Amino acid sequence: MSHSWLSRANALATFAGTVLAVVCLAVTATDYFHKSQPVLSCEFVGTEGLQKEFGHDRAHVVLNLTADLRSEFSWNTKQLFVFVDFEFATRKNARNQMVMWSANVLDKEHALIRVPTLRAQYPYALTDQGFGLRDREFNITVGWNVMPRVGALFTRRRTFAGLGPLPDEYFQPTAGRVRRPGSDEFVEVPTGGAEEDADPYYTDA
Amino acid sequence: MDLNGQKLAETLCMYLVMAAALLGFAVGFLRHDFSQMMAVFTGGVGLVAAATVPDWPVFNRHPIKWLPPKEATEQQQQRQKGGSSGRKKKTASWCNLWGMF
Repeated sequence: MSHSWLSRANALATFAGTVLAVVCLAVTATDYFHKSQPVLSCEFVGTEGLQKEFGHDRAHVVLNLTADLRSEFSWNTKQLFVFVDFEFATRKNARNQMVMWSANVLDKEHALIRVPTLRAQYPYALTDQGFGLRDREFNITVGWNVMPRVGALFTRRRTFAGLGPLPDEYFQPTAGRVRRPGSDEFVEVPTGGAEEDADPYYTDA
Repeated sequence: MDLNGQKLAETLCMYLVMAAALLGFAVGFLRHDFSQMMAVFTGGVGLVAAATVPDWPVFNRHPIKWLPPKEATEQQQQRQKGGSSGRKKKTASWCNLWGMF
């Protein structure tokens, strides 16, 4: 092949691409040394309702979630996907797991999440295949996918075990009025829906 | 571009691109900013392209000196004139390859 400006441009472009791939490998390697200290807390506030529907039970659970995931952000982190899993075991199914809430965290400023009244977000729902939700203990697993700019996505989880139990009788759901766990006491809570406000779960530090 | 210029251009291209990558990585890592790394790297590659892709006079300092042309022999002169005596039947290149005809 004759030597021309095109062959020089071609050599430069391909070599630059190879070097960029090596740089990206080095960038993912720095993520391996990134240490994070996520601080999470999750409480069971109460139940807004427990319904027997056609073929299944449905619970309206309210949680109080605080998650400080700011330390998860390294220089190579694009965004986090945070989700809250509701897990329980019944005689029929040993492992029931359903997502009740999720959010995208696009930058470090929004990675301090405070949701004092966290409800099942549409279209998520807390149901059982059967009628096993009365007097049921459950676990809440807060998980988050860390999505890097280059490199592989990875997931971290924190489980809050032995929450509950749910009430031992059915009652009609009423927004803003929760039944405290383990008692017949009712408490008023704010009803602010996640869909009405623009960024209800984002709170600046 | 002469042969020394080709060598110089390729060496420059390689080392400058690697230098841009190292510099970009250092800037991005120290300032915790991925997009700054990409900006430094792409900017560096752009500068390298400007420096090594066009045929700058620097790359033409050692022009190739060709030998003077030889005088043509009598046979060659005859062949150029197109004499019928020097004519040979042409064989296809694949015949030469297998030693045929």
